[in-house]
Amino acid sequence: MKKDALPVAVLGAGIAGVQAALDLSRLGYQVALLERSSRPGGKLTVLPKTFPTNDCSACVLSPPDSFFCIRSPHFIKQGRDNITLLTGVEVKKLTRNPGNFSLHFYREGREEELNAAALILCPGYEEYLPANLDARYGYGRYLGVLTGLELEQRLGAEGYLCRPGGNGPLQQVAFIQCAGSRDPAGGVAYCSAVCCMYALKEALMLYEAAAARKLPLPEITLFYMDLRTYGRAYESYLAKARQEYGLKLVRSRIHSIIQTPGNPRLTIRYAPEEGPARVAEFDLAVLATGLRPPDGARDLAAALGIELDAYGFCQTSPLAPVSTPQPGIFVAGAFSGPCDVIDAVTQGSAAATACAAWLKENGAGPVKSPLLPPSSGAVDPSPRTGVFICGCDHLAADLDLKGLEEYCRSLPGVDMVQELSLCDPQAGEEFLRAINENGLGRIVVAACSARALEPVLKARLDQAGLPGVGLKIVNILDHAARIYSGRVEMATRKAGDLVRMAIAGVKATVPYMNEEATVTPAALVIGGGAAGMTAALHLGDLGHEVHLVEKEAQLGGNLLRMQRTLRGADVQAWLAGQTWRLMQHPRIHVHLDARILDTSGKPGCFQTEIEIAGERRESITHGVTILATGAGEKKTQQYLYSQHPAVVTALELEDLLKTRSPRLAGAQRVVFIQCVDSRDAGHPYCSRTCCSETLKNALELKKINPAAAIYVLNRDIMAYGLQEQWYEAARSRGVVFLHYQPGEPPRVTPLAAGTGPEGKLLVRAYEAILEEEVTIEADLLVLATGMEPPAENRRLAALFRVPLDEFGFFATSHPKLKPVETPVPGIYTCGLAAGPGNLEEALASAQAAAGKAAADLARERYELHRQVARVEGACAACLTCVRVCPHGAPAIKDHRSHIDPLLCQGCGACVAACPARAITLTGYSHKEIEAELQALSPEAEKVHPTVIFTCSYCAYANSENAGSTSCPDDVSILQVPCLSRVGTLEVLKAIEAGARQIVLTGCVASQCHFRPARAFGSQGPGPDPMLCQEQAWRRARKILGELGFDEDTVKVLRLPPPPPGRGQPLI
Amino acid sequence: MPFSPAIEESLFPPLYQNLHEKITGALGEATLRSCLTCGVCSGGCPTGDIGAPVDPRKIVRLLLWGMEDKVLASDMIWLCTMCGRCTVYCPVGVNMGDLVRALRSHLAEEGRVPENLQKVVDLAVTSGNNMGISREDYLDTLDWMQEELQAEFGPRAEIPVDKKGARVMYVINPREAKFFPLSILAAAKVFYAAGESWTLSSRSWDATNYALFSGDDKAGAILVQRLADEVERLGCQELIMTECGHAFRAIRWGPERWLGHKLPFPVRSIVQLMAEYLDAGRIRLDPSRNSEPVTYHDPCNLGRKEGIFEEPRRVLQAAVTDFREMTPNRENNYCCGGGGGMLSLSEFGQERLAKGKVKIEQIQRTGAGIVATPCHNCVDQLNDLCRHYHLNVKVKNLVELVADALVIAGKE
Repeated sequence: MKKDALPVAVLGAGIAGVQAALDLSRLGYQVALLERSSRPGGKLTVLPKTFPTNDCSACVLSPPDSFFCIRSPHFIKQGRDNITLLTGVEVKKLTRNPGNFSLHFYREGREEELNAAALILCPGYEEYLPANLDARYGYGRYLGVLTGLELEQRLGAEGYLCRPGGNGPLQQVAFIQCAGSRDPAGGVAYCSAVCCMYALKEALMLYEAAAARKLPLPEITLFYMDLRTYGRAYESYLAKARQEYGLKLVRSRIHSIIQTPGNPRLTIRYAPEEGPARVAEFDLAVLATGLRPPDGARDLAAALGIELDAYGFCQTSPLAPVSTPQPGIFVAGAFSGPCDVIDAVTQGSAAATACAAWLKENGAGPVKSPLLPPSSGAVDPSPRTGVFICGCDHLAADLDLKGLEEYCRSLPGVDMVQELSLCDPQAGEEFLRAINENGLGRIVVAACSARALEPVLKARLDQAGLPGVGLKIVNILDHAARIYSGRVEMATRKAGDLVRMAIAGVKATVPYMNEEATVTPAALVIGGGAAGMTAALHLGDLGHEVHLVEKEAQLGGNLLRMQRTLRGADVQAWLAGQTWRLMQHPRIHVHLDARILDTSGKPGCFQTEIEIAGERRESITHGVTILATGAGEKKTQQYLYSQHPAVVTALELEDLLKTRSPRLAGAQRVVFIQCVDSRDAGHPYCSRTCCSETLKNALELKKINPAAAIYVLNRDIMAYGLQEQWYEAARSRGVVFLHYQPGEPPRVTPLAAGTGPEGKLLVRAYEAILEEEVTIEADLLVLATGMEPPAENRRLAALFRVPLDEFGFFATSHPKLKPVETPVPGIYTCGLAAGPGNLEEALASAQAAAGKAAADLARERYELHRQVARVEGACAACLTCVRVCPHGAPAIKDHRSHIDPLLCQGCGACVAACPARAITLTGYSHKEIEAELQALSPEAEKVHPTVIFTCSYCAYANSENAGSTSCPDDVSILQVPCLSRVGTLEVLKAIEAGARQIVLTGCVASQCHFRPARAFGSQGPGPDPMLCQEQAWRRARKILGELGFDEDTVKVLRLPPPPPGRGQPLI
Repeated sequence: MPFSPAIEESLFPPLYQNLHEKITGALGEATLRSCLTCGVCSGGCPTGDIGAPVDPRKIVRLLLWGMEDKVLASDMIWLCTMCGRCTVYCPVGVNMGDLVRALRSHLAEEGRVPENLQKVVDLAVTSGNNMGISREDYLDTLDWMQEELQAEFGPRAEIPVDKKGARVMYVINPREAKFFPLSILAAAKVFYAAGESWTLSSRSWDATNYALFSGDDKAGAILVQRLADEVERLGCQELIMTECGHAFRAIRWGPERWLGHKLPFPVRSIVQLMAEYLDAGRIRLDPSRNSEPVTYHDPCNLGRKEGIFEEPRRVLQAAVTDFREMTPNRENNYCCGGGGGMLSLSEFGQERLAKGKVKIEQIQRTGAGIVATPCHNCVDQLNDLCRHYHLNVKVKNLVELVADALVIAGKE
């Protein structure tokens, strides 16, 4: 069998597996996505929101030409059919043969076989419930004791929790961290990495739920050992919970929970760090249970010859975070150790890149996607109109499809009506044949989910060279058949209504300009540290030209000063190897001692000027850009730094270790101070790596001099995930850790002359447990100052028009699910430039960025495929669009608004808000929506129709998951990208068309797909789409009121992301 | 400039080499240093908020900062009842009972055991039992109890003494011989009903071993060896301990540490034996004879330390009609407040009663009229507490309840 004919098998369709599959498919590989459970989406499907963005937003993973929603029954749909999803798969046998793995599995009771060129393992994790949960906390016995997951599911289902066993609002709630984690004696030794953050999230959810119901806020106490808010945005998350809601933090691990008979309250006795033990009562105790390796991990490892660590997590190769030592086997997500969604998504992308590079190296290149016919210029489709009606069994069961077909034929202006089973493998060809034979230019498809089908049908049209054909899909399954369940006649009539309206809309489609550019097949990588080098090498290995620009005369960045990683990998050996590979790589051009002067162009073809050695200039043309400018160690003014020779920073200690400085062997007492200039008002983020650096170096010092006394003065030891084992190792080797309060930092003074040996320091710190100050006479004081982004980022951000976050790191377009994509297409960021991380995390993010960039370069042409808003009418430069756009896309040039197509996300807010109606959005222009509304009902007077505008995200997902209802009213559901597209005018037009009631259904505030994820650098955060919507509707209501309409004529229904199969009906 | 002087010393100062060896021997090399300072122990210790603070975490922390002097001079070492509640959920497995005992052992070697506790140990070593009861008085008491037994069950019922080749040697707490002989009678009834081959010893009959509390390892060895020798002399197959928590713990935990080897015969508590009798149908009970509500107090040494949680409950379920658990129970149960030698430390009498308050509340909440517990030490403390806190509850050993419920064929 030919190698390149084999797909890559991705085992596990959680968020990491899905990301790997999507990226591999974009790189041109066939993917078989295998999932054990009956539906994909993994653990996220049961969580309505995840930190740090407090949203679901999984749809953000959708590439421009695909559909992806973990809550939709259609889940994943692609323009290119590269992903085959198989659910309910029980793998029985795996045979390892790199390049040709064979998988035997059961699916729907049948045994099947699949051969795969490579494997990506994403089996995820299971919730870890330790054996002592019952005896210790009364879990399962006491009504008020829940796990975090249970609380979240109940909040998702019930919205709010009352006091267990009684009435009234929750008063006191306890969050109990490390219920099973960080407990070598009674549970598992590792840190589960996500519990601190999910507890904070759930605390916020409880507060918000109470606030939304105007109930008193619960008093929430969080019992913890170290509050591991180790991500870039996590510290501010904590600050929000504390400052806005008064979350109480108690550093104490509780012993047990007691519920005395007859009293539903839970008694917790705890010892704060300082002072005597206390007793407190709570209504609810939430156990922060952690993660454990997935079921079947041992069998999987044995079959594939991969190693698991002592806990059962997959071991990865040193400095290859998503690779196993076995060729052709890659891993992503929590299987290689507990991690949050951000890391899982990054690793998913990284695994796709690593896998693609391995396949390419082994002669299995990607399948070239067929060349699309060029189509630049104005597109004015033919007026001939056709209707396709899907003949699917689900539709046939509840609708009279023949009757619908006849009705459609009877409509004026319809040139063709055809039944076509869209899921049929032959459907695509038949679809195109019918369009060509009938010369159709406007098409209505009556089927199921429009958002899932649209990318598939659009891709068909593109491949056929018909990108300009007007296409509207109406969801007669969810919006007709299911809301009039058991009433075939009514449902069929409603399907007819929806088709009629869509025809009116599609006939009003305006011609538009199709823009595209030839992609320059080269990448520019800025920054030659670990991330930049890795990104460049992967791009080169994937067959692309790369320009790597480094400001220093040498590659390596911070790595030049590092000896080993925490896990013990030899950094210098790795760096030497990578540097050699880069320098001799035929497709990689390394520019040292070089800086970026200027850049111009557009996605697909940029031109960047660089200056080398301060004199020579060069111009680089490139299709994509990766910003990997790294971060530096902060220089502090505190603790006698740069005033006393015994005070060094962590990197300076690395220098001493590298040279085996005799100073170290002679140091009898070494003090580390953590969080210097970190997690404070001036630097409100955790640098994530300083604690593990300190653990590594403390252990190294203990190796040099086992008798040395080492003290680590810290606020929280951020040894998240599997790093906990090094925290344990350091303690067991005698390193003493002391928590200091930010308000009471350690004090450092030079040892007064004559009172002791020269060159020593006195470090004083308050030891809360002993309730006294301790004094250490230190030979060496090491300051963990954390990292800060280079000042150069500001200039680069301005040049490349990408935003910086509030700390000066490059902002990505979604901090959780798009960890390497800047909001500008074709520009990526990775490594420390995108935020603090350790070396392996930086490498994973570099691999992820390289894969995304490679996928862009693999296309010959770059098209602005997305629906973007355009100013086409008479603009008065009134600035309304500038004010309402959440993404900062419109700007006034030459007395006219221009909407940057690169920044526009297509929500339609400006279209709705523009008082001159000068802005269009393909598919959702004023003309189209008005035409649809005018076709609302010929008998409006009789049937009193209701119009529902639904956004394309959570509200739409609710209708897909709602099941069957029997609606008494005449309801027409119209889809818009976001409720922002519905303004005053649309409401009034609907009334004019005869609607008696208008319901606006969209996402809940924090879940809007179009929310700007980041402050946009100097432009400041964009306006909240929710506020703009509310303003528009308030105006509409006011006008309606003046016209004598009831207040209730316009209703707003905001729906949370639905649990799969349990959506709320829109009516 | 105020220095914490201990920090000036190296991590293992020669002065405390012995202490650290003891600690390492008791806990293992790295356990103490692994402390996460999480506070589970201090949160679990019921004494932290009663004005007699024992703060287990503080003990560990002082040792880690090299402040041994402060630890050794601290009352905490003697106020701790070594109940082990702090240890149950310690994430790194620091056994506080063992740690405190290691500290006491160091103090014992320095002759720094509180006088009253030392006296009890000395008396046991010199007189053969910890109350200094004479052999005559002891044997008289046994005779008297045998008379009582025979009055009820006829002449074939005996309290055998020094019966060579008996299967079981049974040892008692001296407080039974001196103050509560009816518990000896109760045990005899149970043995009789079960048809057990058993004997008491006339020489080494004291089950207790206060050296477990005082830290005196030499005395501990002597007392354990005495019982071992006596089992051998009488040719018994098994040593059955009376309902005495620390005695049971001392003879299960002590031999390997003090004698360097395990005992060549099994040791069990009479509670375990009674559960076995019930399971095997060797005794039958009529619970209606104990109709008052009964709750059960888990003695720390029997429960948390030796894992005997279910046998006493099985026995009580069979012996009484209305058994009620107290909350918390089993491994989370609160110490009665009299453990660790506290009952002998009259200087801490107030603290001991204060510690027991939580226990009294636990009992009160059950509404029980009787609290049963298989530990003479706990019985004394609970009686004290009931008097002090005016709680009208009777305190009993399990064997008494079982004896009262015995159904003897042909006797009825």
